[in-house]
Amino acid sequence: MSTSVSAASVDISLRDQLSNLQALLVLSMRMTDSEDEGQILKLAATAVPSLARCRLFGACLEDGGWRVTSDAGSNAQAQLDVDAQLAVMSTAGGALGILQEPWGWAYPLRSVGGHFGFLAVGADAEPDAGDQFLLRVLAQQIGVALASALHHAHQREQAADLRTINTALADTVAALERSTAIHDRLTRTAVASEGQEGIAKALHELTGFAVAVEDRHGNLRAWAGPDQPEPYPKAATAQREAMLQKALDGAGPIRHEGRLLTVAQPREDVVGVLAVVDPDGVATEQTKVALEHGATVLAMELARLWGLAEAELRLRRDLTEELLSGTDEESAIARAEALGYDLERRHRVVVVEVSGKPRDHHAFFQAVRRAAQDCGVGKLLAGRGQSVVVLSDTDRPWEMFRSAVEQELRGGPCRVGVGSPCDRVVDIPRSHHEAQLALRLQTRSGGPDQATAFDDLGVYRLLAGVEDLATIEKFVRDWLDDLLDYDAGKEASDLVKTLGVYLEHGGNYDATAQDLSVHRSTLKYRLQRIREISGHDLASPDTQFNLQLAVRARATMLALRGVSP
Amino acid sequence: MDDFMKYESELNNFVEQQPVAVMCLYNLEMVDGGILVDLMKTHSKLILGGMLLQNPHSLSPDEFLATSV
Repeated sequence: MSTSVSAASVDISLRDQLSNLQALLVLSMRMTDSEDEGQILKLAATAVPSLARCRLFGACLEDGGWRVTSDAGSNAQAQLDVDAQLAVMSTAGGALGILQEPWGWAYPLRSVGGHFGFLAVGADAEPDAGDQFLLRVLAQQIGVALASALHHAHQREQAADLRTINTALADTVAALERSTAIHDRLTRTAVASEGQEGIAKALHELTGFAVAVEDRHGNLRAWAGPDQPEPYPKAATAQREAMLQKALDGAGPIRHEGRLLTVAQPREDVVGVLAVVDPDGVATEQTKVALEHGATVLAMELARLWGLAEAELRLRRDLTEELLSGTDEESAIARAEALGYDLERRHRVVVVEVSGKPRDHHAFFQAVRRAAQDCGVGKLLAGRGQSVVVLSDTDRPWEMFRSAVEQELRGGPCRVGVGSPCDRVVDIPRSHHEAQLALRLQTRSGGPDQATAFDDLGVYRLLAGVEDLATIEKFVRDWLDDLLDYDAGKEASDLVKTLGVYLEHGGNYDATAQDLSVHRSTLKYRLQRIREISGHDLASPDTQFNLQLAVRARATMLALRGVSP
Repeated sequence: MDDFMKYESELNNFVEQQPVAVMCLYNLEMVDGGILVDLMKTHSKLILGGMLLQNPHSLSPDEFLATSV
């Protein structure tokens, strides 16, 4: 009987053990299915008392400390105690002293990747070999499940990264495709030489907004789209320059008074503005891209136009140079005709010169060119030393032209000399010589900057026409010899100048003293010295006339000597 | 929970005497590891996620209670 009971008991124990193994398989399936570390550890921890007569203390992972702790495992002192033992424990695990547990064991948690923690278990007494076997297998299954969960987590992260990269890539490709489409459309415009109108039209078609192309000053060069303003509004110069500076300083298009605009500047002095009319501020990033591409094509177009203008200007400059130096009339007329210019008209040579400090000659040339264009003075220009020569085909108020140049120079002072008209090409060097002479006499007179026409020079013009300079020189010496010798021998003496100013003012003491910036008594003394040294009677009208003529003749002579014909 | 497992085991005794087949349904999300182990021990067949797991060594109610002591 007792043998039969004992056999039944062994049978139950064996079946219990076999059932536990089957249960372990079920647990393993559940844990491996789970991708959550917490859930895996919870499944395993709660299974411990059912698999063996033990209690779970906790699972300690190397990278994150305690994860699943029982009531006993929550005891901070017990945890510190176990931590200290685990810190020096072999990765094969081993006996563990757990507070208030008669028996304790640390089972290693491992996967193919290596050891990563321990499962700490306690019991009232050491479990039998079967239970310990189950606990060891459970720990191994936890290891495999955790490694699998980690692997899945990595895969999920990688998949998420890939999705993010794919999305970014798709966005980039879409943006590139849009950009390429914009680029293609605008490049076709450039290749077909459709000009600024073509660029405005293409940009309007690409964006749907009305588009304006303006020059530096705000003048409309092309418009595409509805509602073109009439008349076209134009900002004040200072506001326009401030807007241009803001646009040039910005990294991309800027918003300005209901428009999105960008500046095309292929050269320092060549500027164009490309604007999209968007009062509601609804332009998208794509519009900005189109605007930037458009600005590039506009810059190319402006550079092309500038190159053409520059080539034409250079040809005109070369022709002007030759005309000033004297050239064959027939070939000059033919070359002018090729440039669309009619030389067989009345011309005058106009010389413009800066007063005071010399300036950047290129900027000065451009200022004169623009002023000549605006005033309709002429289109043939050439630079000569510090001056610019214009071959004018009209007869303008020259003072107005001079003011226009000064305005272009932003207030920089300048003088203008104008030669007499010439009807033939061969007379152009003569008109040039006269313009230079007029300029030089103006400089010598010491008066304010002005435009001096050779035709208005009066007696100077007559004197300049005398071919034999020796005759003039003799006349000057006859009348001014003593005074000139006195001035030459004495420093700071300028009796000839004093006499000249006195006679120009018709003998008026106050006006002369003021002009010379001397006291009236000083002037009286100087005039007395002039009378004594020269022996002339300044009160005699005949003497006054001859002396004034001599002073002017001397100025003409000096001016003529300074100007080579 | 122990009482519940006792009920499960007793139910087996009752079912064996009746001409019925009984299927016990459990929400896996709410079943912890301990219950899962005990269910495997006390049921001869278990369907987990569509997979049939057989335990020819499952314990009768008395046997289960005996091993749980």
